[in-house]
Amino acid sequence: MIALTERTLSGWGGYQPLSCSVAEPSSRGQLRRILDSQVEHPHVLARGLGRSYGDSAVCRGGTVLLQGNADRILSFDRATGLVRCEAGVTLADLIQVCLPRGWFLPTTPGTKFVTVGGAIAADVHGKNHHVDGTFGRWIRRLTLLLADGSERVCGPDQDGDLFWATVGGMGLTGYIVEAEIQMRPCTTAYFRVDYRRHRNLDATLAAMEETDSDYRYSVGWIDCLARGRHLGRSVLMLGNDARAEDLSAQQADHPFTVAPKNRKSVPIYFPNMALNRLSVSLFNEVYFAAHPDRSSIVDFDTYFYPLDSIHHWNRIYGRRGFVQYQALFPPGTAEKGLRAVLETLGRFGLASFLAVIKRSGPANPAPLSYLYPGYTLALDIPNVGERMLEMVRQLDKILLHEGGRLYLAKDSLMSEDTFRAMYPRRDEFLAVKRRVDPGNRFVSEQARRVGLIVTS
Amino acid sequence: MNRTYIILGAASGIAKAVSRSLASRGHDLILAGRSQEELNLLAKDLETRHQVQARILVFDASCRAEVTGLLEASTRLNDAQLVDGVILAYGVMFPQPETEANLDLLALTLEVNLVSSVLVLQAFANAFVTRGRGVIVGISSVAGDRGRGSNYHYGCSKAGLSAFLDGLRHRLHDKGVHVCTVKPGFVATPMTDGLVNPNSPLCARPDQVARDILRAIDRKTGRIYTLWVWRWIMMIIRSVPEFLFLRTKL
Ligand SMILES: Cc1cc2nc3c(=O)[nH]c(=O)nc-3n(C[C@H](O)[C@H](O)[C@H](O)COP(=O)(O)OP(=O)(O)OC[C@H]3O[C@@H](n4cnc5c(N)ncnc54)[C@H](O)[C@@H]3O)c2cc1C
Ligand SMILES: NC(=O)c1ccc[n+]([C@@H]2O[C@H](COP(=O)([O-])OP(=O)(O)OC[C@H]3O[C@@H](n4cnc5c(N)ncnc54)[C@H](OP(=O)(O)O)[C@@H]3O)[C@@H](O)[C@H]2O)c1
Repeated sequence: MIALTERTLSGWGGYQPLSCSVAEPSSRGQLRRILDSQVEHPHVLARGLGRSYGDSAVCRGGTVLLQGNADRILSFDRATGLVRCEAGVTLADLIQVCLPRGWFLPTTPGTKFVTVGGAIAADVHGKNHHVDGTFGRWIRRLTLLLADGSERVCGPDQDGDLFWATVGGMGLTGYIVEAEIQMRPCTTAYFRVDYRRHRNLDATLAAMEETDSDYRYSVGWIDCLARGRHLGRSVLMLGNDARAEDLSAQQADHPFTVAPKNRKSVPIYFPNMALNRLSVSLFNEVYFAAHPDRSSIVDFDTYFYPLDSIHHWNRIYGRRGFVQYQALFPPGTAEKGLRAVLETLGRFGLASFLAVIKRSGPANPAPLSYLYPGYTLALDIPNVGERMLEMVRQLDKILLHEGGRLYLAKDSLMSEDTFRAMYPRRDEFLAVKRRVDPGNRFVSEQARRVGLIVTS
Repeated sequence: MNRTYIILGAASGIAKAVSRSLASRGHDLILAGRSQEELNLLAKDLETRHQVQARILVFDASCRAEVTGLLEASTRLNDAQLVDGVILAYGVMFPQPETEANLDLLALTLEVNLVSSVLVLQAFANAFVTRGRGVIVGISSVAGDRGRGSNYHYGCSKAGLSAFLDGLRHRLHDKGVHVCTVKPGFVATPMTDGLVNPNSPLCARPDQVARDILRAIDRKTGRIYTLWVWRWIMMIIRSVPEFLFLRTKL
């Protein structure tokens, strides 16, 4: 018998926590026994490190399965860069094992504290999407446990429908047990980064379009409090893999070793609204001023994971939490759509420290994968209650009007109608789910909210 | 120096953390335990992460024949001087009302935590003495320090184990063999899942316990409490006079 504990769970945004039954299987056998007992566990959901922002990894009335013990890296071939591991392994673990042997993640989100399972389920993307696509593109094989307890192996060339529905499928097709990931060769742990400031939105978008082909990694920070002719002013951070000859003599001695960062922690929740407009605008001024145009060699931690050095940074938004809002627009309407979003933010005066803009590349075969070619903007919005909800409703309208799309891994509020309009391939996904999980054994609060469930 | 440790109960929460710490120092491992599937997964992980050798040995401590098999295997390992240290990390703990009502379960507790443990450690001790070196780490428990009404079945198995380890250390301290008794308080592992709040300041993470055990091996410490506060907590619990103790609910 496995112990079930009641725990209050939310996503990383801390928005509307809910009480759930949680179990942490101690072995593969115990996991199988849970999935075999349909009566005791009618609904189940895998949870990684809870870095999705909303209710993707939360499930009331079901058993939320933690993966702390599914953290084993089973093989790594340093000649080919193929790694096989359990789904609870974190990207930080993969870096630790593979980087010293000359291989890096094929793509990575803005935090290394996510699991392989979570990265596949959300089909995450990084700064190199326009070149390397999403995480799912680098998965060669998955081992799943399905709703009936059976084990199934799939890959791009083996039951491709199930494979691509699982990539981006937010844990709703089955439980990912193991994955095989193709890592990418690298010669150092460093990146050559050019910082470029741009004075407004037009300049930012033009620069991204123009320079993206010169850089493997490209991302921008947008000052979302700038108004008028400065609307959309930004700092672009454009990077390429550093070669050995780019490094200083000291770095070149140990090209794959980066001194661990001093980790700070936010020990308590900030009082609600410590983050007011004033503090954010101060932050933004300082940030903008601190990033004159320059080039430098930075280590992977500094370039990819600036926030990871501050433990629990989500607490600065206070106990009421915040929501993330990631908006994607196709190239044709991006300028108009982004402008409308930034103007709406300005009108509501809801401050966001972290507004990140990125140009996306081609989509992949996964029916629920988020990105298609265009521009995406990710915002943190503090939960101030009704005013936040009203703003999000207005932002949703802009997106629907301009053919935009929201990201499931970041979403806390999307309605079923909005989801249907934004994800036209929903039915393809549900056809696979009907085949492998007709009874909706795998379900999350988000799936219930946006209607990612099979109906008879 | 590269050594080989055998971990008995290698799939336990504490053992996993200990194995990783040992492997990260480059030591080879023999993982012994009940589930071949789990041991295989653990062995592959240690080999991949730390590039050490990890072999597996399947046995069930509740089955005397299999314990005998383990003893034979350990003799062979010792004859070939393949093992430098042994870490005993298996154990069971049932809710006491169950062992009160079901004496088979009580017998199982004693068989696993005490009888098999003592037999296996004695076999390794014999071999280590002949060689004049070796490390024996036994994971006992604070529960063995004083019998308490709510948990004295598990407690007496651990008290027996602690006494065995005390005696072994006494006999071997000048024979080059280091014997260490580890007394964890609460540790967040499957054994305490749902029983103990893992965020309590009295509850250790397995990696904290592993760190304390490795430090004890390095310094050849005889007895450790982990977390360290348990030394003081148990000192108080042991020193409460019986007439007062009987009135407490512990
Ligand atoms: C600071 C920060 C920066 C981020 N930056 C980016 C970014 O740049 N790009 C990006 O794409 N995302 C980004 N994200 C989002 C994050 O990468 C995703 O939400 C990711 O899914 C989180 O992984 P997790 O392990 O925490 O999973 P969780 O949040 O716990 O779960 C996410 C989903 O994965 C499913 N899941 C987890 N494990 C399994 C399994 N074994 N089998 C089946 N389903 C499973 C869950 O059911 C759930 O639906 C960021 C998040 C943070 C906090
Ligand atoms: N957790 C605590 O708070 C705490 C406190 C004090 C002392 N301890 C002691 O620490 C040690 C490690 O426990 P843990 O906390 O890490 O718990 P755990 O994860 O539950 O580990 C117990 C291990 O014992 C193994 N085991 C049980 N019966 C067995 C048998 N018949 N034959 C072989 N192996 C058997 C189990 O094997 P399977 O994996 O095959 O089930 C499991 O790996 C135990 O001796 C325990 O008494 C723990």
